[in-house]
Amino acid sequence: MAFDFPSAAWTDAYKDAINANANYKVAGKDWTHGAVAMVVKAEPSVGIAEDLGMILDVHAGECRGCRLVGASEAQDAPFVVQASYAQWKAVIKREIDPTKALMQGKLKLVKGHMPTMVKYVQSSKELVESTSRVPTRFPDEG
Amino acid sequence: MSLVSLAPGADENGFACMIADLLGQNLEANPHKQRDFKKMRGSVAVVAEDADVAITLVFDGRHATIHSGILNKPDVTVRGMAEVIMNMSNLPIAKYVGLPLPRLGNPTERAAMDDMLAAMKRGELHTHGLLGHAPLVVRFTRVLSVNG
Repeated sequence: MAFDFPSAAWTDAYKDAINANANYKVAGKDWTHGAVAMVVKAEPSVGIAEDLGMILDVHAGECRGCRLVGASEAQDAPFVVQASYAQWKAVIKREIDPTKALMQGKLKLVKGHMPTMVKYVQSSKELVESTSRVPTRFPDEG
Repeated sequence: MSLVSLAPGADENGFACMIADLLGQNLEANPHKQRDFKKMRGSVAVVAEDADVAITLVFDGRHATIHSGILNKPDVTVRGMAEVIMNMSNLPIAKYVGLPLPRLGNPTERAAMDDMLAAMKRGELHTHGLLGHAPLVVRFTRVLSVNG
């Protein structure tokens, strides 16, 4: 079964995918710096009328919750990574590497302490890698 | 005036924005790194070859300006794969000697150092200008390190 991206069902499946990722458990075991939000910019052509966020309540190698929220609520998270729908889709499909995407400005850390993100770069990569483990249906692919 | 700023147009370069945040926040959170920062004079270009992005940091002893692309003829040029360049900031810095060295009995730091040396052997990281500007390179490593 595939889940529509982005949707509440997708975020539930994403939480399960993170917790099933053994590499994340190891890489994220020392992460105690709070939630990470992933914001998808509005893309009316695929039905995303306004910016959406997914707040990942990650702590010590575990995802305790994952919620689909509005963009303003997402900004309450200590760390916010933002990208267009097309870039998130490319990340989920593993068409772009998250480190390169950050350097190229395709993904942006719009809020949060960059040295902490760099220190836990492997943890962040495994969070992003977990997105590709969610069976996903994209609205522009029918 | 902040210690780090972006040159006009550099805000369009994702790598420049990342390094500006990393350097500025690192200096703010670790005042001891400012001693190194205030001794830095010269320019360092960093090229992430597989990401096709480059920046040049110009240090004048008080401030660093980050430019998009390679500016003039940098004193030092670091070229490498994006991931290896990011991992440079995760190298352990030995407390008293101030050089990238893992602590004895720390497998995480040992692994970070081994990964970097292996990447250099594979040709995934090159530093040009190291011999002529060794203090600048060492200080550059220290001010960007998120460890120590």
